[in-house]
Amino acid sequence: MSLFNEMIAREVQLDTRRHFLKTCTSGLGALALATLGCNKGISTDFVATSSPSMPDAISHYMGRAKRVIYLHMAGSPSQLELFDYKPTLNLLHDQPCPQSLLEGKKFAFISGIPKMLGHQADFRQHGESGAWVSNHLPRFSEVVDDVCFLKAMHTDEFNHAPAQLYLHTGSPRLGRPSIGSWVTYGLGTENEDLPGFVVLVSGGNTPDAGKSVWGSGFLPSIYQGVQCRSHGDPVLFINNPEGMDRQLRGQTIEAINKINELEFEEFRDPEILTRIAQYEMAYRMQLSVPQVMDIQKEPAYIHEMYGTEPGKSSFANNCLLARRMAEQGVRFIQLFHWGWDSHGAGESEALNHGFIDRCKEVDQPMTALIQDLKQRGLLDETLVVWGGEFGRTPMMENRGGVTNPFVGRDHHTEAFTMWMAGGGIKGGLSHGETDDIGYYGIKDKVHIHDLQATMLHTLGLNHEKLTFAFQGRDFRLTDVAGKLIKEILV
Amino acid sequence: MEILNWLGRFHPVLVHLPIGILVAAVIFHWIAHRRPSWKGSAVLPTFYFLGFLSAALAAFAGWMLAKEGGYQSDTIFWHRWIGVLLVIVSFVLWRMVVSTSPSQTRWISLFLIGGLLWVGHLGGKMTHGEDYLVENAPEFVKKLASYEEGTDYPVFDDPDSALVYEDIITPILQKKCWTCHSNDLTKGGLNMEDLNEFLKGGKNGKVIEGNASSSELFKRIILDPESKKYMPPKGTGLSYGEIKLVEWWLDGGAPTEKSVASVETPATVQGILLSRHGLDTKPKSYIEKTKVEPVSEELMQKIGQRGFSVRQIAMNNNFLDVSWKNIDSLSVNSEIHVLEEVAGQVAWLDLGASNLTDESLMVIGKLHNLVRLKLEDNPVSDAAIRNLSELKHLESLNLYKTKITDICAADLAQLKGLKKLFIWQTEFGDQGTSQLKAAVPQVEIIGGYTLNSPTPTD
Repeated sequence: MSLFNEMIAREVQLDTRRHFLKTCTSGLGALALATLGCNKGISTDFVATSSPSMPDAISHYMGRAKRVIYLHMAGSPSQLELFDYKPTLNLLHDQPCPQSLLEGKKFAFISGIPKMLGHQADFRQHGESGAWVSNHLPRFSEVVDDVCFLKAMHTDEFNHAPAQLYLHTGSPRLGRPSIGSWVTYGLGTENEDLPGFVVLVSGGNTPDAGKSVWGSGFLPSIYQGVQCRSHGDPVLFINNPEGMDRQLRGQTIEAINKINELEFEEFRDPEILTRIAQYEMAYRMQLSVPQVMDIQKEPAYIHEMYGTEPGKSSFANNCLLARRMAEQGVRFIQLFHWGWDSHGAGESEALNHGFIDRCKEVDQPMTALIQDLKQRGLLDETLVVWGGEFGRTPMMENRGGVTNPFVGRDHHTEAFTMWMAGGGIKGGLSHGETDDIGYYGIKDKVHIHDLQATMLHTLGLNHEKLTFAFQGRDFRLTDVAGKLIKEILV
Repeated sequence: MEILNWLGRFHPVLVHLPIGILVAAVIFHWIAHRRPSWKGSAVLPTFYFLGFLSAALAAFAGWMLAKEGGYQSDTIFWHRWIGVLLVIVSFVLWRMVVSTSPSQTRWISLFLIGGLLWVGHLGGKMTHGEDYLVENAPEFVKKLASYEEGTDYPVFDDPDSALVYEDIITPILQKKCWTCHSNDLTKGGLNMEDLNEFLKGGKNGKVIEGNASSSELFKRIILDPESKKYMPPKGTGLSYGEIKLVEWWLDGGAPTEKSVASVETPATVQGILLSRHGLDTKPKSYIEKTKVEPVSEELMQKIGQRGFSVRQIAMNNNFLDVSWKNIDSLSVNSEIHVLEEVAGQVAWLDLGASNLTDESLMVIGKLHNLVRLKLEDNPVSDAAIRNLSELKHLESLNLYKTKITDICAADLAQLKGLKKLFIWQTEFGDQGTSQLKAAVPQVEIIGGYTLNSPTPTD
């Protein structure tokens, strides 16, 4: 949306029903009508309980994790080149895919009869747990004993944007709050000077679903994710312009908030409270964010461990920032790394080119993140989640029935691998199994709603009780589904 | 003599003869009394004689059957002697109706009927079981007999207060086994109501031996229901859940005193215990098991004002999660005394990077229910660690970037419940590690990662 359009949209939003009723010629009569029937839009309870800062909520039960670091690999990495080793698939390499696997299925690009594609990687077992990891993640294979693999994940959406929305908001369509919003809504924040829900993006692009994957939906907008940049100003316009000092800035915000408070007295719109809180938060963030975002002062061995280069925008920098924010008590730290959509239609998205580059970009930083959290004693209380929005097919992609110039796989909803580590999750475990070619999950299948329920559980939240009343009914992240993966819980 | 034993088995057939004949005799007796001119009264002596004869035969067979055993209780005593008495009474009546008018002996005949009902009931009770009559009776009869149906399982609050044998297994045995194997009736010589007798077994030996698969008790309940040896022979067999519970009890060595919490519970049985008895047997951590008094709202606010952020761990758990907010104007070392007011409630305490000094650890040492303690990045030294030695429930201790050395290993060794110790960037080395490992074998000591990075220098 261009700035101009955005401004027009804001203008329209400001012109609320109550504005209209107040200023239009029908005046009092219409106003009376509004107070009779139409005012029910906002429950008075909510206004009464909304305080400018996030309320400290109580967990439903004892949560072992206090915060989440979610590493989302946007575009979806191939589980068949990283974790899900299937020797049979190698034997079937280059053979036509049997009709039974194609009938009644919809793929994003595959058409006609594709050929099976053997692993484009070498697999070996690692650690005491004997977890299978390919040669593309050499560093990561050292920490497999701290990690729990979910080998039989499945979802219902086979295109990026809806699948990402599904994974992060529980619904494939726009409008629902993201999991980070739900968590901060449920647990509040540990650090009043930082946002409870921070988003860091790398890989050159935001995820296909756009900013809605960290939106707050119908929850008060104080719970939406705040995107921080690892390159340039961490948050746009965070520094005071020339000629304005911190004291003057403080006085300005104080004045604006006083006006807003009057506005709230008049209209009782809870979003005004959010706005007041955001101004205050922004003022505090002017000090706290540059501090937490400044990785320059980290010692050299930490930079070496993560492979960070200060000043650049990279997944490594974001992993280090995630650890710093975890230390500072940020509740939900959401990372997106773009570029995993390995169809094979071009070099940058080929399993034997671009995909390997992506692996190199994430291998060292994500390993360092786990090790660094562990040595600081933070891993026990931080849940780390890694994965894409779906998986990749065991078949080679043949876009439009023609073989691609490079090796690639299409989107696959039936089976993919994710991993979790840290707070409340058993390490050194592999949960779930796929069939001999990695097409379907055949044992301990985990739907993304189950994953969401389990994530909330480790934080002490009951996914069936964390609800918000909207448009006449209670909504929750997992809607009407979601089963705890009890086997992987400590 | 075998032939006599065999004759004994005819008791259930023979008993019906005297019942029928004597009831008919008493009816004729009363008609003869009301209508003295009735010619039919002539059959009375014959009926009483036949009644006496069949009663004597039935009693003889019964005596033989009782010898087989399995009935050595109150019930068999009264059944036997009332039966014998009835033989005598029917003989007396026979002799009397021959010589005197029926009206004179009519009350004795009523006594005979009463005796017949009573002895028949006792016999039925022994063959069909205590609840046979009331089981399908209308509600008001059940209430009169104060009969309770065994379909509602008792619900317990926690696995510590429920006993495996008494609360979980006994109700199953009562419902499915006691009909034939109780204090009243010990078919096959087996009494499952009396614990000592139960453990002794029946006439074919012990029914509980070793684990489930080697115990006759378990073998019999999982047979093909068509099999002659299948138990119970009548009525509904044990359900899947009941079989699993009995198996769990036997595999655990058939404990008779242990609580549910004190035995190991496989996942399948966990589910059954939860759905049948409301018992949650999943292993629980210390703070989930232990209950403490709630902290008042005022006190929570007071602690908050002193610079701590304080939170109740969960909705129905009064333990507290406390951390230092690092407000510039306050010093943790002067404010920490406020935590003594909630000494029993603080379970998690995070004082990382707060300039905590050794003296403050004296206060921390009084927080006796601490489970997680984070003291990292503070000038804490070996001398202060001794103050923590009373923290018996401490599971995780973070001392990374503190001034501790190997010397504190002796004090850390007092923390028998310790599971994790973080010592990155300290002088705590191999010597301390081996000393602590020897005293607290389960502890995991987590240092820094050096594999991918040079050794930390600062």
